[in-house]
Amino acid sequence: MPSSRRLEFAARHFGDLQTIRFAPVPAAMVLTLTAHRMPHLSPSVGRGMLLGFLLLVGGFYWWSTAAIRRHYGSVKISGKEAQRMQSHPIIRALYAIMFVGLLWSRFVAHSHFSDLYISSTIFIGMLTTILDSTNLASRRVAWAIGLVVLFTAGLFLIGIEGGAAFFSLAGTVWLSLSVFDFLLLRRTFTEISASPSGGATGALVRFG
Amino acid sequence: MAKPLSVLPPKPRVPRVQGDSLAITLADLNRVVHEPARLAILTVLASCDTADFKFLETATGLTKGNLSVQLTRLEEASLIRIEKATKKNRPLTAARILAEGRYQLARYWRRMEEIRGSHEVAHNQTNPNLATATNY
Repeated sequence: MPSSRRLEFAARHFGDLQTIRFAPVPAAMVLTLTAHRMPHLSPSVGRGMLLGFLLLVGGFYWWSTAAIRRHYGSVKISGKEAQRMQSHPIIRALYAIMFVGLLWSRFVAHSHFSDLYISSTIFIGMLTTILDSTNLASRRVAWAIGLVVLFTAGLFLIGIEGGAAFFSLAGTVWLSLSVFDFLLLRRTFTEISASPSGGATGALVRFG
Repeated sequence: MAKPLSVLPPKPRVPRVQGDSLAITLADLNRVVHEPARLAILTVLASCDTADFKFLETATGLTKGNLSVQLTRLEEASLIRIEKATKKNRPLTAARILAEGRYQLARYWRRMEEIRGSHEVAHNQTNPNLATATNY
């Protein structure tokens, strides 16, 4: 039976659970390794493929957003709520470390600035989901596994195929987490509707 | 005359004051919030800024008619505000929890915690052996 915690989760993280709308982007990243081995394409063909890909991304986003809204409705989250985890002490500390690291790479080391920026942004972004206590335990565990895989296996793949292997791994992790989140969204609503009198009774199941 | 000794353990008694406070707390529950359907709606709305009718219908598992009635009750109690708009000739209904609604929901859960606390104390006093064996 769904508890009030599950109802809160469904409302609070409804938008977060819809990263599947960007699915063509990680799918293309997964295929990077294959594309890397393909023969060189002419610039016009490349531009055409890029345009087609952008249309696919936009079209899929529009269609999936409409489909989800038609099926589940829509929710708006306040800006304050969206920024809630930014005040978490660990996240604040990591942003401070990131800032110092970026200054060091820009003005002292003069290298790896963009690499450091992208990797630390992804790391903090994923950690935000893991540390968020309003998330369900299964989601936090899945994201923690994704984070560990990306930042351990990824380190061994950085130099392979000119970085294409790492890009492919990042796409696989992103796509896997997107699919997991969407299945979690579906399961949450299925459980709510399958309970004896819907979420209404479940709202009382807070203690246990 | 000396009172005869009993082999049975003394019968524990729940203090009268505690029983009274439990009754007062129960009577103090907000009936508008206590109804499961309305509680589910408030729980959803307290977790977001606004939610549309379709989302509330899916999240609470209520029928359209029932949801509409419960939303009206909550609006009459000044706990939520219903916002109606049209987009491409289609009506869009969304609901937003008001400060009073947020306060009443928090107060409701606080009362429920108090009731549970009182019940646990009473249960432990009447069944001291069970209190150590069970933890609920």
